[in-house]
Amino acid sequence: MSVQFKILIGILFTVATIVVLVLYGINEDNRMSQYQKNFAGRTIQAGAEYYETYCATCHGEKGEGIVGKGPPLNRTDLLDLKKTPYLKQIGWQGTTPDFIRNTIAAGRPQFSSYYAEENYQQHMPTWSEDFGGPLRPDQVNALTAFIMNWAPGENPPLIALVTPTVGPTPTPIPPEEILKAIPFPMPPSDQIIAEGKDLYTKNCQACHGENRDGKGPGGLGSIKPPRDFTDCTGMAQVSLVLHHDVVVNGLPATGMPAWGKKLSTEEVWKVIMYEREPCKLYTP
Amino acid sequence: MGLFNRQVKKKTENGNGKANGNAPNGQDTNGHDVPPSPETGEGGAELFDVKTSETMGDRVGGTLRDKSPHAIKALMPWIDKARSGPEGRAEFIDKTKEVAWVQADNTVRAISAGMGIADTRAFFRGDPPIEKPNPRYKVHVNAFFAHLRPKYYEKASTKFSHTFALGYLSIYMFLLETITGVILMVFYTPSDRRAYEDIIKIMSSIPYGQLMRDLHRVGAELMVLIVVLHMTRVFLTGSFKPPRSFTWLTGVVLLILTFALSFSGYLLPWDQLAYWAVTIGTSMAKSVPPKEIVGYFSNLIMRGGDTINQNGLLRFYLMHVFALPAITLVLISVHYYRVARSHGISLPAAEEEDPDPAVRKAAKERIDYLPELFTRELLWAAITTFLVVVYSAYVFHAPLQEHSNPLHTPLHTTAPWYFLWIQGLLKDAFVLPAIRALDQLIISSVKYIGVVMPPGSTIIVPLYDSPAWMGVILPTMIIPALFFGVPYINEWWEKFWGSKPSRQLLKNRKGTVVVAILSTIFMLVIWYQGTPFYGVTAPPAVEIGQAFLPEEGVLPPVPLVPDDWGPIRRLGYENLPDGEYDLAEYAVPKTTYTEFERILSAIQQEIMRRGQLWEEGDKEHGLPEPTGVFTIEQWQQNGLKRIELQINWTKTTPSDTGEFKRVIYLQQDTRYQ
Amino acid sequence: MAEAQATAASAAPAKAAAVKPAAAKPAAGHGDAVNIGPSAAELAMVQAPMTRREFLNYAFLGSLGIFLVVFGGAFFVFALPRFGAGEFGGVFDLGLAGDAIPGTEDAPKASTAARSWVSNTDQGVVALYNVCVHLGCLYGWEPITNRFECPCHGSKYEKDGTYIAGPAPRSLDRFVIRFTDANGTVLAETNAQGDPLEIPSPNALMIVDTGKIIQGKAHG
Repeated sequence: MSVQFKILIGILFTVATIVVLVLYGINEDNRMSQYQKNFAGRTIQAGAEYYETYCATCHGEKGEGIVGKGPPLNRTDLLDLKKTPYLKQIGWQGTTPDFIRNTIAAGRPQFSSYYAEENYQQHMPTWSEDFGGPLRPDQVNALTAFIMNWAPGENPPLIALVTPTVGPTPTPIPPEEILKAIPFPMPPSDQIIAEGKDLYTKNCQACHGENRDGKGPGGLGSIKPPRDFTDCTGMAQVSLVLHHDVVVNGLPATGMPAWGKKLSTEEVWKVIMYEREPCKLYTP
Repeated sequence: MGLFNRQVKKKTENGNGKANGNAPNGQDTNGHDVPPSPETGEGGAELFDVKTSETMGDRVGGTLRDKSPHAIKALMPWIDKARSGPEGRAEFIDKTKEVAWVQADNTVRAISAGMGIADTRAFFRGDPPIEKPNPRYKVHVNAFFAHLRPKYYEKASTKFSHTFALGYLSIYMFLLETITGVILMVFYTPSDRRAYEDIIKIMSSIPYGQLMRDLHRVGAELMVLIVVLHMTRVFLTGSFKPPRSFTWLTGVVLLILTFALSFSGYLLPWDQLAYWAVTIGTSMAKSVPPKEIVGYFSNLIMRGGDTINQNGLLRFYLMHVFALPAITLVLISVHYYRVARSHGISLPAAEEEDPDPAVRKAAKERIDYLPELFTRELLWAAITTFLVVVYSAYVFHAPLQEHSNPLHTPLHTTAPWYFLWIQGLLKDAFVLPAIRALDQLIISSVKYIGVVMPPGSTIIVPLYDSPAWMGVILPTMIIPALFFGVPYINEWWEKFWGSKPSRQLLKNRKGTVVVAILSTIFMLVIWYQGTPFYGVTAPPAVEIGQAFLPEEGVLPPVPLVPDDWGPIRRLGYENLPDGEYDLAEYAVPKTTYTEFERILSAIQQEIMRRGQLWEEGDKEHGLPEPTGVFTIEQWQQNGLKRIELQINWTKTTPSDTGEFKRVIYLQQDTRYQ
Repeated sequence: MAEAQATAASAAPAKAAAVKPAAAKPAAGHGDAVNIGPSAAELAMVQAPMTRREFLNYAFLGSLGIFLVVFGGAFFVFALPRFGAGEFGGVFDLGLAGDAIPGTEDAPKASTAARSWVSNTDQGVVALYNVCVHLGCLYGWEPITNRFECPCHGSKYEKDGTYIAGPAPRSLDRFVIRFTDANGTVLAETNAQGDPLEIPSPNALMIVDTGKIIQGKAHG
């Protein structure tokens, strides 16, 4: 093989390599978008596996929710990227995936009342290893991707959409009946107020404050600040019946829990009396 | 200019003449554009009036003349001549050309590190050198990279059929790895939280990112392959023999370093493949004796913890990008210095040992590195680059499995192909039985000399049967010792038999041929034992699931072949129709089957085969009355299917569940080709 | 270079001839001229007494060598991982024995934090280190075959960790288990052989000490 032939072959191969590199480069945008989709798909697949392992027992294997365990996740009011009434109502500033990632990673320190979640009885645990859970960040991301893949997009959701009123709702009781149920003579005796104070200190003081002024540490940062019971103009708007209803059923989208399950009727009324004591608003 | 002016001023201050401050400026601004005009008395050219050198000396002093560039100084005497008339001018022009030539020639000599213009052309034209002594040899003295190379080779040693350019290609691969590796480092973070993400980023969002990763991977596998082949060639041509014994020794160290480089890079993608292969690898170190000290601590130091975590990743990264390449570079230098400066590439044995002196002389004919061999090396580089780029761009893509999960070991995790022989040794199935048999033989024979061993006792088995032996001592001590020792054992062997040292394989080294064949067979057998096809048996139903719906991509036990994610994933989302399929309906293969139905049929065939094995009495691999159901369900409307393979059989023990399920999810955009 | 090579090649037969008579002395460096025995001057130098300067030079080299060894030791200590409290290697409280321990017929229970399998047989309870003693893969419980199986190289173990088959050199490693009552009094503790432990009472607290690993018995 002559030197000239070698040089010629060398040129041919070099030019061919250049051509291959250029052709490859031209296709790069296409290839990269393919790969991105491919990897997004693999992330969703991984998320589906983790969901089956960790989440399906409480939220249902297709995100339909299980009464008594976990609320549905496959629902438009949560997942629709454009209108997320749920997130608006709770005042979430970030995006929907952020909210889901945050909830999976850090869990729920308290029940969210938007969805009558108290009916699900279990707190969402913390899942991220950053907060003492078992999952790595990439697993939390994969789960988020899987849950977001339920978002309606072009296709209708798989299961029938459920309205946010699902869950046992108490049958409304007429106001007179409620007032009749007050188990002690009105206006309340000092004894009743003292008992109410005990219950208040245990259950309510954290948010509504030691002085009943709504400035307890637990209420700081709430979207709606806790009720100030010393503000008599404000309290004048709150009838006995309304007060009773809020204590028993809680206030959705605020931090106010439903106490009806925890306190007996008598205890509820005692707390109410203690709360209304600063303004002495005992009449219906 | 500033410097120039300053010098002039200094002279003025020294009172060395009534220097005209304009003079240097006039020269600078006018240069050659303005013809010399003695009338004005301020023309730049007047400066160089040599005839009136005293005048010039008065003006600017001798320093200007002394410190003018060489070329201008040389022209000075001719400038005045040019003023005298046309002849003088012609002379001046000739002189200018001459000076320009010298100037240009010197410049070319500086760039080419020794060759003038004419010789540079002769170099490119392929003509013999013009000057004597050969200026191309000067290049070897002056230029760093050329000085690394010998001035000439002996002709026969450059034959392709003798070396196959394997040593050169090893260096080429090392450089390719260095370059692509440094490029990949731009986007890679050695952190357990980011490493996998960064690899995904390199593959999905960086132009040429995937190509760089594939090139790095292909280069790594080829480097191992080429280094091994290089070593084989050196062994077969007898080139390890004196005076090349020490070179062989450094070569063995380089082989081990190549393995270490490749293996340390294995962990960096931080996927399941990486994590568990390296877990196995570092566990082998655990049993280096004495294991309570050396084994325990070397494993701990490598991993940076009791399992591989962030510390381990960082340590492997530093080894991969810094420590090992640095050591390798030093060793390559030593290895190559011996070849280039000390003994050269070996000649083909047949020619070197030919009884005819003419043949021996012809073999030693010199062939210059510049330009012949240099051209040849460039050609090899061009061809190899092309092949590697095309292979990486269109054929082979570096595998990437799921994110590493320290809590789950995937089934059939294997070491990389070049470590399968160690895995094979660790699984060990033919050496150990042989040694057990030998042990029994010894025990039964010592009976005759009156020594009765208690039943169940062993003599040599415990010496051999441990991971320390199989995984560590054998591969890291005995086999390397044999490798290191090849030249010295050979020397001793020849002396022992009094045979004439010869490098001719088929003629004078028949023993070597036998050794080569035997060790090749040995390596192939233990390599096969290292593959998951051998000896690792999960329960039969799990094996069926693994064959069709593997947990992760299965790496073939050979280099440069992509990993396989099983037929179902390969078929893809679009070709998997929803439904529940009773596999018994696919028992009889039909020609009208779609690709999907063919796979169902294959699964059923496998299930039936397991049933048959059970009936034949193979309880290890068979299943009693197995049935299978294959279910595909649309799981999310946005393109996610759930695929489940369920296998049922008759329970045989109380704990037997009689059921196996393997579930995978498949998204519409994922591709497993 | 080529000259040296030529010398080597041409000297080869001559060398072979020259070496034979001086069999006691090993051959000189390859490619060098062959000389037989040291010259008188060489002998004189080799046998000369040690000078002060020579001694100091050796001492200098020796001190450099010791420095390198000490520096290597410093690096070793630097690179050696430390295990903090609450990490693996410490003591893990698995809760009430009644909850933490599966029945004798049930599959063993995995504890991720303590990296162990809690396995109960008729002989008693063992806490097995969840890493295969062969090459460090995580073995798993295989209900189909009612034994532990390693996915990497196929080692198999009984429910109590006893070796059955495969390349593993010994039975699975065990951790020390302690049962305590509510006051912290130790009711029972694994013995030095790591034998299975009887459950003293379902209300006892089960504690796994991952700092104490008892190696499984080697098989013959």
